[in-house]
Amino acid sequence: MKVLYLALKDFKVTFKDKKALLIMLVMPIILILILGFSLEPMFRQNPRVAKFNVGMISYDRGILAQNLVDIMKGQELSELMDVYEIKEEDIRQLIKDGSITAAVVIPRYFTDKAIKGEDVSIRVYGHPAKQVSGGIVNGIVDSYATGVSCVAVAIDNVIETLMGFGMEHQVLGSKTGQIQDRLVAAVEQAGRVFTESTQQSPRWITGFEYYSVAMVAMFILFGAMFSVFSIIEERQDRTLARLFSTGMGSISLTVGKFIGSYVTCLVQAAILIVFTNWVYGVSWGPSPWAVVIATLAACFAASSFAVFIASVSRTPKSADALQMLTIQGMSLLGGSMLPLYIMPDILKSISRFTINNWAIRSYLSLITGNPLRDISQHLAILLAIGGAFLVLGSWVISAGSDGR
Amino acid sequence: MFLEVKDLKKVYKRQRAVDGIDFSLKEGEIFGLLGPNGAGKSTTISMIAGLIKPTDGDIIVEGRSILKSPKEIKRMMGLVPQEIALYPTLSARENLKFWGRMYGMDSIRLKERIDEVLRILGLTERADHRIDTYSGGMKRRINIGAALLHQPKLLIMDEPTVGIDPQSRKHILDMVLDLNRQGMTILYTSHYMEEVEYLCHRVAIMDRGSIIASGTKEELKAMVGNAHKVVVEADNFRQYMVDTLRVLEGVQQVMVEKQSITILVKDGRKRLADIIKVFNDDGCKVNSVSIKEPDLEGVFLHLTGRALRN
Repeated sequence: MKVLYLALKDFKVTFKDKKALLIMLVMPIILILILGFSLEPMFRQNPRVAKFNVGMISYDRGILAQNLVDIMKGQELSELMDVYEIKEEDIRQLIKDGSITAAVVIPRYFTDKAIKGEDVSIRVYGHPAKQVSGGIVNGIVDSYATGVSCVAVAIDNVIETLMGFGMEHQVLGSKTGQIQDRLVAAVEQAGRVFTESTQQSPRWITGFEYYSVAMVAMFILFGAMFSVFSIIEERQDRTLARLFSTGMGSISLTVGKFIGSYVTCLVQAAILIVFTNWVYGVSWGPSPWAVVIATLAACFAASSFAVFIASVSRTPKSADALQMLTIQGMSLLGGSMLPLYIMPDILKSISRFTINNWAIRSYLSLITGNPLRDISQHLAILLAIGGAFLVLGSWVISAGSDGR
Repeated sequence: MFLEVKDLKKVYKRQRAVDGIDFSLKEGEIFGLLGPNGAGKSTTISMIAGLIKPTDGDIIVEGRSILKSPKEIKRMMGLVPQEIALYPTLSARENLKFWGRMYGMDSIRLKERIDEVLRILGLTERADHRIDTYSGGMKRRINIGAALLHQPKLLIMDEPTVGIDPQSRKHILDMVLDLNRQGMTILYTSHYMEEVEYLCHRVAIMDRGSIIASGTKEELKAMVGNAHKVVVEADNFRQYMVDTLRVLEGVQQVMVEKQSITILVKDGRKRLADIIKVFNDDGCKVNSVSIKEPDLEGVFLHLTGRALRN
C-alpha cells in the first residue's frame, strides 16, 4: 500500500505545480496550434477536404442522368458533399457567395444521346479559389461520363461486329432493348465501383492531427519525467532520507515513483487527447478503446524511460540536461517535430529506436481507421522498450542505495 | 540500555566522518550530541536511523541490532531531519497524512493522531494551508510533527531549531520536554549549547568524528574546574598578544574571533585586572568585558581550543 500512497502523493504534487502544468498541458496545446497551422501545407499533398455543397441541375429524366444524381446524393459521398437541386440562373450567384463550391448541369436527352454514342457533355462549374473541392466534383463527373462512353462504345462495337459476322438486322433490332438495358446496368455497375473506391481511398492526415499525435508522444515524456524526477528533488530536500527512515526500501520507492509517473502520464495524455478532439476537432480514430490501449503502452514506455534517466542523474541540473537532451533528441528523430515520412531513410531507421516513433505510428494508424491488430507490433515494441528501461533503471537505483 | 552505539565508524573514501564512537541512551532520557558543524553528528544520526550503513560497529536498540532488523527498529523511531523534509505544495494536513501512511498507520488512527499532533504543534487553524505559505518556525514544527504521528519510542532530532525565531524555538524546546515527560526517549543534536543545556539529561560532545567528552552537564562542567569564560571586545588586538595572555596565571585557553577574544581562566574575577592590563599595555582599546560562569561552550573550548559555533 505504501507504494500507492507514494504514487498518489507524487500525482498530487505534480498537478499542483504550475510550472509542471504549463509544460505538460499548456505548451503542447499551443505548439499543436502553431505547428498545425503553419505546417499544414506540408500535409496538403493528400488533403482531407472539408465537407462542401454542390448544386445539381438535371434537364434529363433518363436513367443515366438519374443514376448520376443518385451517385452524387448517395450515402457513399454524403461525408464529402451535400447536393442540392438549384436553378441554372442561380449558379453564378450561389458560387459567388460561397453557398456552393461547384454546380453540375446534365443536359436534355443525355441518356438517349449517350446510349446512341452521340456527342453529349455534362457541364461542371466551380469556384476558382476552391480548386480542391471543384476538382473532386469534376473527377466524379468525368469518371462517370467516361464509364458511360466506354460501355456505349463497347456495345456499339459489339453490334457492328455481330452484323459483320452476318447476323440479320431484324434479329439484332429485336435485341436492341436488351442491349440498352445491359448498357444501363453496366454504367450503374461502373458508378458503384467508382463510389466504392472513393470510400476506400486512404484517410489522409491533417497538420493538426499529425501534431496532436506528435505533441502527445513528446510531452508525455516530459510528464513522466516530472513525477520520477522528484526522486532527485527528494534526495536534495531530504524527504528521500525521511522516506527511507520510515522503512521504505529502494525497490518500493522505484515502484511508487513509476506508478505515480505512469498515472500522471495517462491523465496528461487523456487531457490532451480530449482537448484536441473537442477544441481542435481532431479525430483520434473510430475506436476509443484502441486509443486507450495505445496510450497505455506509450505511457508505460515514457514512465520507464523516466525511471532510467532519474536513476543515472545525481543532481537536478544533470537530470534537467539529460532530460532535455534525450527528449528533444528522440522528438527530433522520432517524428515529433518533423513528419516521419519526409525524413531521409537513414533517419527513418534511427527513429525506430525512439519511443516517439512507435507512439506516433500507433496513433496515426488508428486515426486513419486501421484496427487495433494492425498496431500490435508497435505496441509490443513500446512495451519491450518500457520493460528494458524499467529493469535497467530499477537495477541502477537499487545498486546505488546505501543501507536501506 | 535502550540504545547502545558500539565502536561506530563511517569512512568516506579516505575521510573518517565518524571514528569509533560509543555511547548509550537510557529509556526515557533526553541525550544530547553537541558539537560544531562537521563534527560527525548528522552522520551518526543517519546511521542510527538506518539511512547509511556503518563502516564498522553496531547500533543496538532494545537488544536488537539495526543491521540485522532494520525494518522493526525503524518502526520504533521517528526522525526529525535538519532540513524541512516536507512537500511545500501540499498542506500541513496532507503532509502529515502522507507521512503517517509511510509509517503504516491505518486511516482511523491516523486521523485522530493528525488532529492531536496539530493541536500539540499549535497549528490546527493553519492545517489546511500549503506548507510554502508557512513561516520558518511553523515549518519546523510540522517537520517535527511528521515524526510524532506513529508515537515512536525513540525520537531522533537533528538540529531541529536551525534558523528560526526565538519564540518558535522556545515553543519547540518546551514541546520536546513535554514529549519526554510523556515517556519518549529523545536523541537531540545541536550546535546550540544553550539548547542542549536546557533539554538534555546527558550529553556527548563530538569533534572531528570522535566523542571527546560525555556525561551529565554537571560532570562535564566539572572538567573545567572553577574556570570562567572572560570575553573581551577590543580594537587593535594583535596576534602576539595571545601568547602574552596564555602565560598569565590560571589561563587555560585563548580564542580570537574577529574583535572578540575569549579567555578560559580559573578564578576569572580575580584575574580580570591582569587580563585588562595586557590589553592596555599593548595599546588596545577595550570596548566591553564580560565574565560568564562555566558552561558547555567553555568545556568545548577547554577541550579543543576552538569555539563551538565555527
